[in-house]
Amino acid sequence: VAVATEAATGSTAPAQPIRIRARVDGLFTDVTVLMPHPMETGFRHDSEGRTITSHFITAVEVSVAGRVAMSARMGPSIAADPLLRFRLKGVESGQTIRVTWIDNQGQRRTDEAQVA
Amino acid sequence: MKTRPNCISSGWFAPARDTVGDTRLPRRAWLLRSGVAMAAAGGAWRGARAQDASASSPAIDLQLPEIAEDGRTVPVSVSCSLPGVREIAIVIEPNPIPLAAQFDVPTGAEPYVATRVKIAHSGRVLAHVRTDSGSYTAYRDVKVITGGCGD
Repeated sequence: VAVATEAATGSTAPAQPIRIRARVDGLFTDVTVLMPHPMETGFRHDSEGRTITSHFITAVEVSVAGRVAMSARMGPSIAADPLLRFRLKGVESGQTIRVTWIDNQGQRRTDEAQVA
Repeated sequence: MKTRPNCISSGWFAPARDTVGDTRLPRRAWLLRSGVAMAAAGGAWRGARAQDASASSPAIDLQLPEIAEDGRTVPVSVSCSLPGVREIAIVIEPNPIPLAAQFDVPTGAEPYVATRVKIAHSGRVLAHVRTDSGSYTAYRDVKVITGGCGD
């Protein structure tokens, strides 16, 4: 597959860090993940009528202490800068939570945080 | 009227490189078109579509505003009181690519997800939940003031 390097790095700014917040609340852990990303659908046009290339996150994986805790597939119907909120069980304060996304241009980004 | 690119010809399907870590994601998840593709995606989802005409499942709590001022970002949350939830999917019927997201719910995790979606114009939002015992659908109508997929 020809993944042009320019498509992966040229047309868009480098991906911003993922913001992760995970807090133990009794039995459950509330997790909020914000992934800065344009989430272009490929249906929009610029001022000169040219189609804006689609560019959206296609998959997200969340792991806690090395074990997959949640995963999702996403399409361009998710709003720009996707926000995900979910609830996990059996997570302890101080564990490492790691989030990875990958987009349709082959870019990916991983960030981690500590569970509070 | 502008012709919209077909999801197959414009490469909406996941390329083989679409893996996160070592996990190979199920390819059927990439059948992003609701009608044709969801039917092709397997019996469970076909069942979910067939239920559309019947009542919205009371076991699924689908929350979104009745009136969305800005269709570019509309908060949606889905939670579910059913046991053994495996998957939660959010489908925005008015959109050209209706399947917004599909979440795997690991065993024992709380079946709750919230996110923000784009909605092109007024229409219906569906939440499909697949459990060990079957699939269920809930829907809500939403009125959109400013569409979220325009040029």
